[in-house]
Parts: sequence; C-alpha cells; structure tokens
Amino acid sequence: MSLASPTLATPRAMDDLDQLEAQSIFVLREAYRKLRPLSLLWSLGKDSNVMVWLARKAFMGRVPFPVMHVDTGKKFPEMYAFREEYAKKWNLDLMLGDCPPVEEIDPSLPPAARSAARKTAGLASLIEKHKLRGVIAGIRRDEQATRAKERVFSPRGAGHRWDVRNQPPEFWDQYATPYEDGMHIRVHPLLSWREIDIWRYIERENIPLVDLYFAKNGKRYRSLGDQDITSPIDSNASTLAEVIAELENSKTSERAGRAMDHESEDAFERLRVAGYL
Amino acid sequence: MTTNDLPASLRAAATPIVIVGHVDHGKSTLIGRLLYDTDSLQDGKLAQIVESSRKRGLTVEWSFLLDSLQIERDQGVTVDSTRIPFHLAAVSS
Repeated sequence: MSLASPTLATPRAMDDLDQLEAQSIFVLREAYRKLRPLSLLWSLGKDSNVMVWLARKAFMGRVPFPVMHVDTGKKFPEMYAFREEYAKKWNLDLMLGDCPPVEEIDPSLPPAARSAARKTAGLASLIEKHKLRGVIAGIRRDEQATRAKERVFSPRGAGHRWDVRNQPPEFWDQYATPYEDGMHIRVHPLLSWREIDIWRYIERENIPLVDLYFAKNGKRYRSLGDQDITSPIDSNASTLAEVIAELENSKTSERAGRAMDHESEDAFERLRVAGYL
Repeated sequence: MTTNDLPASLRAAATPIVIVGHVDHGKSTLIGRLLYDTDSLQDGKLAQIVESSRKRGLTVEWSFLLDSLQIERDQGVTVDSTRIPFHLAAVSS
C-alpha cells in the first residue's frame, strides 16, 4: 500500500502587505485579550475601513466589540450613506456619539482646530459613558509629525491626556497596558502602515470605500474630515490603480487639505495632547 | 523605496544604519540633514522648519524634521523617539 502524497500548492513567501496585515491582526487580538470594554473608532475613511476589515479577519468574520462613530454632524452625505450600508453588511454593533457645539470648545484654539476639537469632546463622553479601557484608532505615523511619535498601545491618563514625555518603550512586540481609574489605552493597529500600503491593501482585498476618494472633474479627496475644514486636491486619479500611481510620485502631504493641521505650528500637538486622535 | 517594498529575500539583507553619539552631539541633526540630502522631504516641510527655526532665533535646525514637539524645539533636545519612513533609490549592481 502506498501513501499518495497530497498535492500542495507551493507556499508563497509573505510579502510586505502580508506582514503588515499579520502584525495588525496580532495587535487587534492582543487588545481584545487585554482591554475590556474595548471599542473601535470608525471614521468612515479609508484607514478605518481597512481597520474594520482587519478586525473582521482577526475574529472570524465578526467584530466582537462595538464600532463607534463620533459624529460631528458635518460629514459628507456620501459618508453617512456609506455608514448605513456597511454597518448592516458587515454586521457591526454600531455606536454613535454626538459632539458638543463649537461654542463649548477652548476658544484659544485656532478656528479649524477648535472645530476639530468637538470630536475630542464627543469621544471623551463615549469613553466615560461606556467606561472604555481600550479605544482602537486608525492613525498612522506617516500622516503627521506628532503621530510619528506614537506607541501602538498608547496610555491616556486622567482627562484623557497624552503624556508624550512619558511613553512606555515597545520592544519586541511587548506592549504595556497600565491601569488606574480614569485611564484608557489607545490602540493603533495601523501605526506602521504608510498611505500607499493602505491603498495597495484596499486594491488587493477589494475593500469598499466612499467614492469621494476618486477624481471627478479634476478633483478628489485624499483625506476626509468635516466638510467645512477639508478640501479636495487636484487629481485625475479615478481608479484604485490611478490613485496608487499618483501616490508613488507625490511629494505633497496627505493632510494638505485638512485646515486644522496648518493653522499654527503647535495646533495639532495641542489637539492630540488633549485627547484628539 | 523603503525596505518594505523589497522582496522578503532582499529585505532580510537590508543593512541597518545606526547613529550613536553623546547627548547633544547632533544625531537628530545629522538624520534630519540626511533626509534633506536624499530628497526625502515632502513639499513645504523645509519651509516649515526654516520658519520654526527663525521664530526661535536659529537659521535652519535640521533636527526639527524629527523633533516635532514644541518642548523639543524650545529646548533643542529630543524628548521622544520618532519613526519616519525613509525612501532609498534602488541599487542595481
């Protein structure tokens, strides 16, 4: 009797996207293991869609914690339509949070930053209401210079403040999850991804997106925020392949169209220290 | 291209570069200048650090390309680590 040798496909070596995906899934599972209650922030943009996609992969098809949209009420209509459609299709436990009016926000912030800080306040209410210990957010180091200093597991102290001078080291995938009353941990599974990695992964996995990212009449949005503080860029990239080709040759900043980043040298840092993403 | 763009076999062979030095001897400044000399900066980045340096009475402080925090810029010292993707031209033999 002979044993038939099974026919195995030749294993493909892991490429860079496989490695990023595996690392992010590891981080999501680690967060779910260590931090409860846990929730994932879904801004309806490209990065957080990738994150929801990864979370579905990490937990066998269904995200096992609530997905939060902190709604400023000023998103594009296409984004709200997308939220309704995919919250159902992906079977998400969707939690919505409101933001206070701008009059209640620190008046010493520049105007666009003050407007953006409404989201910090909305997020803080959700964290307190649900006593969250972990909040998963889709920020990336290559987006913005203070995000380049972030940790994968980033502790937030009382008042949700980011103490940038006292961040734990993260060697060899060892993540600190300290806990005291009033603290939570921001978890950043996409921190090491670059903008172009996100787009190549969206193309590979066929991840759905709001079509504002694709050019119409010579303009497209490279980054999506509130309607009144976000501008489109000049572009003719109307397909995924064209967006990727455009980014390969681009030297402009991804967030050039986000007014809050450019008002003053310290505006974004002030937002982030106070609990912005 | 970054090491991430390379096939796994080549990535393993990518050479890490480590810059070691005493406090305040210019490690961040050297790295900032290397980012500039290798054309790795996004449009407008140089103008931003020139303006930020001018406000503090300096000409061009190359370390500001890494040291983005106000406390780092005000005191002229790196407080926390930063990670910046670094694009290198492909080398063919």
